[in-house]
Amino acid sequence: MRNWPLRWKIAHYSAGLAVAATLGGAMTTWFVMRHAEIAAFDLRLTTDAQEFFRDVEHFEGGRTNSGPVFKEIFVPLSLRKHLVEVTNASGAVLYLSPRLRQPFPRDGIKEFHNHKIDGKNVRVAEFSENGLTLRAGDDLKEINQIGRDIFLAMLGAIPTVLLITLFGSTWVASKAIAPVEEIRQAASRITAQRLDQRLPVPPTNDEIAGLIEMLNATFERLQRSFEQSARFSADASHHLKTPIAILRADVEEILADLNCSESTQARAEGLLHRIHHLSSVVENLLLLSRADAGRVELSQAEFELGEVLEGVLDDALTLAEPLHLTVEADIPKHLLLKADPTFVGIIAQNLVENAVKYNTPGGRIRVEARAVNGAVEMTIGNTGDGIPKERAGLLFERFYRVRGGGRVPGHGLGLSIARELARAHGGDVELVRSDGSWTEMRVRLPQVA
Amino acid sequence: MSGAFADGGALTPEPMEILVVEDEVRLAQHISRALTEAGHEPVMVHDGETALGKTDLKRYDLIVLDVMLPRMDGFEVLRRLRAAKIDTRVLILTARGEVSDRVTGLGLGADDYLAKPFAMQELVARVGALGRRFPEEAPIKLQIGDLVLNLVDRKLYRGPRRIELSARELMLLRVLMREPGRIFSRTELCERVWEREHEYGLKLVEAYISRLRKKINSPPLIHTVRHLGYTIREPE
Repeated sequence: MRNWPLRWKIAHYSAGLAVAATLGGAMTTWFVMRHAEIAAFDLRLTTDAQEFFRDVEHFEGGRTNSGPVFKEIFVPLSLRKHLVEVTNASGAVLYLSPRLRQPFPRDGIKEFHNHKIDGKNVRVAEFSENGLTLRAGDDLKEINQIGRDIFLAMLGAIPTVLLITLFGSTWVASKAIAPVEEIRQAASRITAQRLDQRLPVPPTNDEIAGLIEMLNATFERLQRSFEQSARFSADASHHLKTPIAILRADVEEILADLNCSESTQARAEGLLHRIHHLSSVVENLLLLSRADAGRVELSQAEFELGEVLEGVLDDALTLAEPLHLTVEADIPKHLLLKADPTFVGIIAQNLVENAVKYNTPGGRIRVEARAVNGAVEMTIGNTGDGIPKERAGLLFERFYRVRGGGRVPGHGLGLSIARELARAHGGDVELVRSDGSWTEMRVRLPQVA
Repeated sequence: MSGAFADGGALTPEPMEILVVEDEVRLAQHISRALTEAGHEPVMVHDGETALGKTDLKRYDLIVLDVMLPRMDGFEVLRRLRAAKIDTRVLILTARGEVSDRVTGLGLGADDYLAKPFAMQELVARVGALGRRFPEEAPIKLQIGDLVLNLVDRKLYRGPRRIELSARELMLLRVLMREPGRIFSRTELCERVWEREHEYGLKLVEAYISRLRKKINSPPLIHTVRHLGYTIREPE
């Protein structure tokens, strides 16, 4: 039940409540009716008894020395259907109503009280006048007939009540929850790219309106912090790139200065390349921060994957030569892709660079691509020590390098950039295999991003 | 900047009066020096309002305009220039390098766009290209002596001999042949050939240059300028 939709839960709770209410109502009715019916019964019986004694009293010449004359006809009809016994002063039974098979036990109590006779609860009272004693009463079940009928009728209504409340409250709950569902859908449309959107606030003043206002305030704060971080990257890039531009111009002047010694120029050349590296790091960090904000701008074009990979494979072959690596490529012709060709090139370059970097002399690199279900899958495999299992999860972390220290060049952003760029296209980069001898990465890009 | 980079005869442009709008004084000075070296007459200003004041008084041949300026940014300066019907060519400099920035800049009527940090030679070359009275049509083929590169079918001939090129060799040769005589540092070639820094870029540039030299054969056209880089030029 924990996983049920809210409206089902509400429906079940209210059905349970309705059944409990019906049951409670039935019990109360039964109890109240019993009370009222017994009171009415007592009153009726008392009246009948009075009528009986009046008839006996008023019977013409009915009085003998030994007391009043009793005739069966004196017993009122309304009394006969109950349990009635008439005795004279000496205790001899003068009349027994048909339903009463034997005289009442003598308990000496006059007022109405309950008495167990033959295993039945019988309500009985004793009236005496002029030497005649009338005992009358009835089975409580007979007295409480209506109350019991109502009770049973209400019990019988429970399945109907259950059904109606179950369906009815599902409907009511759906109606009540509908605004929540609308909020969910509207909120799901608000993404990093469209943070300026807000949920429409209904004109009502209810809990839902309050919730929406609260959510809108949260989105407001979220948007502000997103914009802040985006502005920060723009500002940071300006504040980093302009000094780098100055630095670069400084170094270029040294390089071009014919009065400088050769060794100075050689050092300046090294510096120039370091500046290039520095600006690449800045560029990569910017790209990652844009990816985090969901603001990578794609300049899409339709192109053949093979054309973009040409240069990357050329690099691999060139670098492979001194390391005696074998490069195998299986890229079908006319494998069309609609994506940002520059970014696809960067993804491939980063992965192939790694395949060279973490290879063993005399090893192998294999680059494959094919179309699979509307996506292009590119796998890049290489021989090498492989990535230890416990580190595979860290592979796409920024600034993470499997082999630490200065042995391997690079700044550990290549894989995370490849992954972010693939994700910006709606694809991904994954490590599919890495054991002692072979490591394989797979890039998946939708053919139309 | 003395003569070393500037001795490419093919680059000699017509002298231009250029307004350099850049708030970083040091960078503005570098740009002015490089433009002066190239034979132009640059004027430096460091904010947008001053720039608009200058263009009100005088017509410049070209404006080099930084985007991130204090108070009024470069885009706003450009908008006001165009609103005032000043159609001077504008080269935008930006530190942001985002596609949308480029689109904004070109949409506002900028003529070219250069992302920081740039090679000063690149700036000079772009300025030179913008300064030509008639914009150059993209050439169909590039030629240095008897070396002819057809850009349409990507075929290279040395005299009658056809030379096969790999993808990167072609990219590299194209960069060199577009500006014969200009010395490209190895770092600049790395930037031109690869979209992002390649970890083995310098090594690759050397490898491709040596392969190109072998393929082009003698007399040599690609020359190493010690500590400066490479250049392509006709044999003397």
